[in-house]
Amino acid sequence: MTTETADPLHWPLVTEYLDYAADGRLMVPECRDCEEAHFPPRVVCPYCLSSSVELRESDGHGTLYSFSVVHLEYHPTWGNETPYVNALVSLDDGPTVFANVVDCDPASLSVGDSLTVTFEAIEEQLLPMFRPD
Amino acid sequence: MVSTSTASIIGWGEAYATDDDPKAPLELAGEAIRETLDRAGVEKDEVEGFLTGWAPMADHRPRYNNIMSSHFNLTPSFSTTVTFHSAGVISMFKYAAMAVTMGIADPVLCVQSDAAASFDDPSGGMAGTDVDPVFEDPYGLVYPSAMALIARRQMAEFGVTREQMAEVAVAAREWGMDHPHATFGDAGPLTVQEVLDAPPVAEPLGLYDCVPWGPAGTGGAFLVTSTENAASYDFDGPRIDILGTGEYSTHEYVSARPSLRTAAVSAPDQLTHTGAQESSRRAYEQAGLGPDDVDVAEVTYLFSNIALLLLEDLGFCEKGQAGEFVENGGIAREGGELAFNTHGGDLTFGQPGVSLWMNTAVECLRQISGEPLGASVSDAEIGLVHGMGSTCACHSTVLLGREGRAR
Repeated sequence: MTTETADPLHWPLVTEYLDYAADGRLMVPECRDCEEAHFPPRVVCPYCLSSSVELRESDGHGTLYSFSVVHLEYHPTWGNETPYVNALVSLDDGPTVFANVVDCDPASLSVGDSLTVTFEAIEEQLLPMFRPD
Repeated sequence: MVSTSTASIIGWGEAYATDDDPKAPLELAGEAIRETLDRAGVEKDEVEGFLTGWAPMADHRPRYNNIMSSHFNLTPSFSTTVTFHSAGVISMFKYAAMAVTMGIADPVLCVQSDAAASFDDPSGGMAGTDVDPVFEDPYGLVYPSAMALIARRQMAEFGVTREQMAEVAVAAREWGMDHPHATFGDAGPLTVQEVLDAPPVAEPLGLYDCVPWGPAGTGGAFLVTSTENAASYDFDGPRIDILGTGEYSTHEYVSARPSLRTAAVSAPDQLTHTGAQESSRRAYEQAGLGPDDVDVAEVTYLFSNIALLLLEDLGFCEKGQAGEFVENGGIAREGGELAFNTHGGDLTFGQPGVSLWMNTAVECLRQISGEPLGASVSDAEIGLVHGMGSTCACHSTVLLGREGRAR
């Protein structure tokens, strides 16, 4: 007899998002009922609580909404890569998403900079990142 | 007029460990409870309600209210942990007031302790704390970096400068210099330039923009009864009335906040508009008071930029103007407009763990009672206490007033 379990952090839309990321595609969750997009993916639409949330592909262009240049060294995977850049990026065709800005000189970044998505493997999972245009 | 619809504090206490004399959270809680009950003239067995915030970082056991009440042989008929992040420590004023005014339990003992010196991880186990495990942690987001994302928006939208943020740390050092237990109380004055020159932590935040760990350990407690019942106790010091309370939560992880456009605290940029607007509005309305009535404000903020946001959202200056407010000496100890964090606040008093929020509350009770350990605000009658939790996720405001102060 097998028993189904539900991972509390990886509901179907999250798994789907990560599977697309593994293929180098940036997806944003969007509600089919109220048409609002959100981030990160939730089990239901945070605006109307509809279950009809689907992933829509973004073209990956956006602007730098905010960023932080991290010098702390205690994160287990990033701590030895300081300084690294955490960022919020407002997609031209979607919501504001969180990712890192890579391939950049942190000192040259400014809020409002144009960025394009790229993908990097973190602990064997390909994840969306952004780099300056 | 006294009515059963109001609640009052008739006792409070505080306990401290030092580097040479470390104490566990339960020891600190015990000392604070004993002082509180002594001050209130209340026997231990009279206590009906028992509240605490979340478990101390130095003792991770869950259901800490049960652990503490058992340890001190209390038998509460009303007990829970109030977890609104650490702001729940401030929310205890409201939960206790609800209990005593509804006749559920009276008196209610509220306690919190923690001990930074006894953390099993020097970083306090901060990696992975307060970040989304799937969408933030894999990117190395750490808590100070989340707060730096907010700082960058303040700079972009309001023109806040690093110098203005540094003024928060400079003022905090002035206020905390006479406090015997403040982490940086003996470190001497701080200059803006020293703050700017400190090592970067998560730019734009540097070392002195961020709350340090310390004191070694602290505990605090207060006892709440109905205003009507207060007269039946033989307590020391003035009765302190709970005039108004308010809580508000907008999000959990920082990356969720920008896309939550339907949140009630709605603004073009939500990282720079916090739930403190709503929590304080509710408290002011209930109290029939406004920011100008506040004699002393004790506010947890953890990072210099967040102090600026909260000065605005608690109504002490216009939105977007806090940078200029502090630059012009608004929270300076000498000649400032607002007595702000008179124990030195987060940046000088430090964070002993979850009990920072309790020490912040007790500092307000001390000022209103005229029994400060350090800097003194003469004749403080109305105090505001505000707890900020996590990534500006949770906010809890309470207005306290000395007995006899008209509502």
